[in-house]
Amino acid sequence: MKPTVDVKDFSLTLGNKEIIHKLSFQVQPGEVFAFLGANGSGKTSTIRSLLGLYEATSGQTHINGRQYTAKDAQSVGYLPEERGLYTRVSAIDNLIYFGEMKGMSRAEARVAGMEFLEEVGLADKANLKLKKLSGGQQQKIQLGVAVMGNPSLLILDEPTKGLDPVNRKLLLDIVEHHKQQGAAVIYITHLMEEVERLADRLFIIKNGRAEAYGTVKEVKKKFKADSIEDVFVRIYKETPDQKGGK
Amino acid sequence: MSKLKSVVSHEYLTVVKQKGFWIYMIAMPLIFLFVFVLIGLAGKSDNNSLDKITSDLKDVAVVDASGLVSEELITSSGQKAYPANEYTQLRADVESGQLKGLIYYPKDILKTSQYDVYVSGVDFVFSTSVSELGGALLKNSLYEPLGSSEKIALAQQGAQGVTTTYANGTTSVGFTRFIVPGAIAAMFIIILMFSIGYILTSISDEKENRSMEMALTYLSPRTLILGKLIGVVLITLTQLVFFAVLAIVALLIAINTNFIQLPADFDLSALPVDPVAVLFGLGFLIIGFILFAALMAFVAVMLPAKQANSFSSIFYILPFVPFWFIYTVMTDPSNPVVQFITYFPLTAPTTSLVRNTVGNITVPEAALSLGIMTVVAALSLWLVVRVFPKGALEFQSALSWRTIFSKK
Repeated sequence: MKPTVDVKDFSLTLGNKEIIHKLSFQVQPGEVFAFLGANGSGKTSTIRSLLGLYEATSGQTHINGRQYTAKDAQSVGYLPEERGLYTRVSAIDNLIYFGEMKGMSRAEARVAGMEFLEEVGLADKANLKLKKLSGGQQQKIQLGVAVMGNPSLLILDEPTKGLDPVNRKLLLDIVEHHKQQGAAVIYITHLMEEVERLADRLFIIKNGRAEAYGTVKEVKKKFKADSIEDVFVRIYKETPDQKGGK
Repeated sequence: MSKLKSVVSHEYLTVVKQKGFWIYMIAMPLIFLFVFVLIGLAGKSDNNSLDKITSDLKDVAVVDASGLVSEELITSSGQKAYPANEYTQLRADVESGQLKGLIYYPKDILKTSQYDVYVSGVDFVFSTSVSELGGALLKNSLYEPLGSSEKIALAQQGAQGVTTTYANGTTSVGFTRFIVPGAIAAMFIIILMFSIGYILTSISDEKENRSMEMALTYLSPRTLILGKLIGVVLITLTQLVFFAVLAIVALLIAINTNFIQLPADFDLSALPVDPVAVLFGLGFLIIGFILFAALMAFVAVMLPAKQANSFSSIFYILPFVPFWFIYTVMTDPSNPVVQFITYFPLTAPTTSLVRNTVGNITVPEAALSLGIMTVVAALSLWLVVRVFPKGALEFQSALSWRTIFSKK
């Protein structure tokens, strides 16, 4: 099967600092791929390079067989760690705008946006400005923006951060649904129980270098650990403070 | 193209759907109107004060020991003339407050050119009025031998010179030739004051609330920046149309209520249009707009939001420099300072527009100024597009010049 994401010998230097050193990994359609690392380990820089926001110093960062550009917007749904929607614009207008960015017509984006709002119980808040919504409600809209147009790749950076258990389950169900539909999901989180529950494979980086890569079972076996949390702690135990990364 | 349309629509509607946008647009003219009303009320209050002073002036005595002041004039002005031997008593009356004022013309006034004014109390306006009354009585008395009141008025006020100028062998029109280029200059000032800042706010806001990263995931930097620029153009046009409608309504009301009286021969339909001045005016307006919008965008991309807002004040100060010495700009175009600000990019649009309005900029000067503006505007736009992907994701710190010109 052709991988949705194909990263090969990818290195990134920003200024004089090497942030990422020769990373290689693939993400297949229909799998949840947990991308793990401590703060500042280089996860966000890798994602930004994948999305063409940073230019790789060397190596390749392909999505669907080529370097991603804004022309391929319909194939990607991104939920960044630093949430970023237009707070002075209504919930539905945010969804419509990003739907249009992904190649949908205004009418299609409106229908898809309203369907999503109904699914997450926010239909009555459609015309409220985003700043009038709670943090959790805004996060749902952010997820809605990511899944608009059913992209083949979802990149979700700590999507459940700050959500209550009910909304967290709702959100994870939506992720699961898109996985079932064949979407590849890059899932970034610090919650290892979510990794155990959702992830098919995982990738752990430290200071921009690969430390663990494989299925959840394979990684546990390799590190002779009972849980992914044990693996993570073991990797980071020696040097908890990250020096590189962004 | 459809993405660009979406960005333009988003940028435009995000601003014009804000209540604050319309409150600001309506509030500004209302504030101006309020100031005008205050000035009018102050004028009315001045008139009331003048009525009181005129009434008080009737209680001012006049003693003429010089023999130069006409008694008839004193009486017709409402004052009473007294013989010179009563001067001491009258002065004592003023001192005791029984009399409000006394004007005394001494015998040797021709040598000293001085007359004495005595006033009861410390009312500055009243004492000034008594003094001025004394001057007016003396002056009018001296003019009296001229005979007719018309001659006196002419001698006192002088005559007005009516100037006829010739251009290209024909009689040129008067002040009306300033109206069209002046309106273009006024439009640029409105744009500077009300619209240019939107581009900075738009980029800084997106950086600050992190929506920039989302936007750049789905849009090329070029599409995003172009969409923002076109959005600001549409916002500007909305504001200009709104203010133009308000101005026309206000003008019509002012004319119909005789608040403003246009010259009898004024004909709007025959407004003179100098095509060269209009073309250069529009050039300065459009290129000046692009120049300032690009510079604002550049600053917004280069710096974190708060620093960008502080730094942007430079773009509100420098364009107004020509107005600090407007008289020199209008009357002495060859002055080295005027020459400098005509070509310095940040002062060039306003200086050139003012000079274009009064007609003291030559075609080669205008072309050179416009050329410099165009080059700097193009360079600024190029820089914005170049730094956008790098600076747009730099939320905390300023972008270094080294980063801007580095290949990656």
